[in-house]
Amino acid sequence: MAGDMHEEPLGGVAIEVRPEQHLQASPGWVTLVWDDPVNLMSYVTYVFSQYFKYPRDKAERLMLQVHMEGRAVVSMGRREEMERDVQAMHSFGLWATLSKAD
Amino acid sequence: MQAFKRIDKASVAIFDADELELVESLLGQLIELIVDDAHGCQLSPSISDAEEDLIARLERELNNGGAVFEVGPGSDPVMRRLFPVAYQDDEAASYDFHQFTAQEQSQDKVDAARLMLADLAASQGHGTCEVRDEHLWAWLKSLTNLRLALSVRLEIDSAETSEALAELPQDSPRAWIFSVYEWLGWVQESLLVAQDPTLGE
Repeated sequence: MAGDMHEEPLGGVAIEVRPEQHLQASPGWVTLVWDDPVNLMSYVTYVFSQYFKYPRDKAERLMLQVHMEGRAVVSMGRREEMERDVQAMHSFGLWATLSKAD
Repeated sequence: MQAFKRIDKASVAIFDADELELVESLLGQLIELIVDDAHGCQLSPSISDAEEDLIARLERELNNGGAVFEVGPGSDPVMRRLFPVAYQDDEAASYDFHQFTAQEQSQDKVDAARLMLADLAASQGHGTCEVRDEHLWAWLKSLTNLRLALSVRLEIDSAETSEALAELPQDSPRAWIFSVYEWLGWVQESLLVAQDPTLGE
């Protein structure tokens, strides 16, 4: 997801990376939040805006995507970061999983 | 209950005595469920006098068949929902994740429930319950955990099941549990809207 706050640059050295090289880099991971019949829409929006610090319209858009499509990618990055996000989502009572980005 | 309103750095609501007793009972059962399931994990052993009284009361209620949550082998579905899998297609990774995080997650839920209990206990006698901003997440998480646990008991697996439950005759036990489940949702919505009125729109 372009422009996502959790996305980290590759390495610490400023090198001009050709687009094809970037695509060949090892896949990142994503956090998916899944729809459930219990959690309130207002609560899910609140969690997304408070935890991820997303602006309100993005938090609401993601919530609606979870609600209508059954799931949404809410963050992306390294595996350890996604495990942290999944753990946080679980602590809020949301159901989330992590998987390799396509 | 009167809806939450923000006053200074807190959200304030008025609960009646029956509501206080009900929520305290449910929170106590939730704590016991999680603590019992955490065998082997070292959860914070600190237990206040208020909790000891609660647990004694719960034991009486349990003996009278008043338990809403099952404790023991039958509690698995509730625990599965409170501690869901982290990897959809990788049992080994999910198992590792659970091993790594179960203790912290359990402690977090128990601490949150205890904080909410303490706030409710503080309102005894006058019914005015103050949720300081530092306790907001403890309340939001605990209300969610209670609803999740009740949803398993009610076998709510879809929006359709919820609608069907709303149609039950009012004197059925499941109808009562469902009304508690809905009321807790209203309490949570009230608390959220007090933080941000646009959330209710």
